[in-house]
Amino acid sequence: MTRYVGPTTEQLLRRAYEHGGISTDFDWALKLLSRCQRTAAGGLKLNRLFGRGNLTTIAQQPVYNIRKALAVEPIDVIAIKAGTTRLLQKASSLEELSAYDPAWFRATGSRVEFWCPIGRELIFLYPTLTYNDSLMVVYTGMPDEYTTRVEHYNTAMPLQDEAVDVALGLAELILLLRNRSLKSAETRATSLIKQFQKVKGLIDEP
Amino acid sequence: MNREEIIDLSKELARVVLDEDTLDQYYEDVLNEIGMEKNAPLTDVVLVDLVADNFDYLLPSDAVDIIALISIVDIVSKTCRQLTPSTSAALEAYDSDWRSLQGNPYFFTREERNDRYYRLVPEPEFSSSAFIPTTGTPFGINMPDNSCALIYSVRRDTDIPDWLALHISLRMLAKEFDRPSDHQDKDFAQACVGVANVFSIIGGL
Repeated sequence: MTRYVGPTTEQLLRRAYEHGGISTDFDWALKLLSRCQRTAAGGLKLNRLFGRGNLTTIAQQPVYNIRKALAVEPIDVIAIKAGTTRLLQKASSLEELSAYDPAWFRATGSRVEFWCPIGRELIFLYPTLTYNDSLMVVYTGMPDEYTTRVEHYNTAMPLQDEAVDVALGLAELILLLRNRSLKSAETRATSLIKQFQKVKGLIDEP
Repeated sequence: MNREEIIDLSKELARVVLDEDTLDQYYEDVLNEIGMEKNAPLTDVVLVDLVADNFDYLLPSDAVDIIALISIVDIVSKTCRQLTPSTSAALEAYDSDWRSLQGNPYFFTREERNDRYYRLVPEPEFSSSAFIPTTGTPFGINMPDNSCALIYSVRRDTDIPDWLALHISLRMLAKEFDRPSDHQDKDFAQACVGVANVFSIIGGL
């Protein structure tokens, strides 16, 4: 079932009000929901938010800033493909690559085999090619930002129902905190973590 | 988002009048803390030109911590080495004469210098070759011989990803409400820490 921004924001405000909170501006709550949706999208790695972009690789260059290279703002890189089908293997750390090949930082080969994320912005490719080429990067895209009631009331939310509930839970947590309903915030935080783990288990990881 | 927007967000969340200068300092502190954590999200890489007989190198102005320092050991075989972070006690155990060793660096330490410098051990014997940019990047085919690549976590004032903003704001508020002031509220500060942790878990930080 598709959820819409306006009614979901109203649901958020109702929940905050039930806990005895002070009134919250609709547009402020809408922006909060928008930010929380982005946080939830990062943790859940939802495939319906996946985007694809071409990474132009430079001869023998192993390190790339993915935000600059793709000119988009991905939350996280999910996978990298050479051509249309071959998935590069993901190395969990630079140490893993270093143990695999002592020449890892300047190694060249006939095809790129591994990629390794360094934080959320850099990726390392191993080995590099001796010529310029391109790879396809699959990433979690950033959901749109909601700004005003007028503009976004009827906008469909891109996340699955269960994931919207996690985003809603995060926003509710912030409102509880803001309203100094600290006991309720503590209870909600515990239940939200359980809810998140359940949703993460339900939604297929790539 | 930028620094000012995150400070504004913190003020909106707090709903009391907060001191702008203190919040500004807490922004700096929180970005430093995040940069020191394992899996720091904001990262960058830079080429370090080594200078023969010089063991001290300055971190880039936006750097928080060193994630990896990679030096090229052998130009012909392309063998490279990820330098091992070390302490003066460990280096003392390795070689009591470690301060005067010369050669290809094996270790780096940040212990004996102020926090903007790191020391390479042994100190480099050769200076890096000149970087002649042909592809516009110092890595790959243009990487000069005897140079190092420094991968580091970053603290910056602009271009903070939106998904990280609330997490930063909450940690700033935790500090602000924990310090002695007319609005000190330790329970609220503690709750901010708890909610920031929830954002960290759900955001996959």
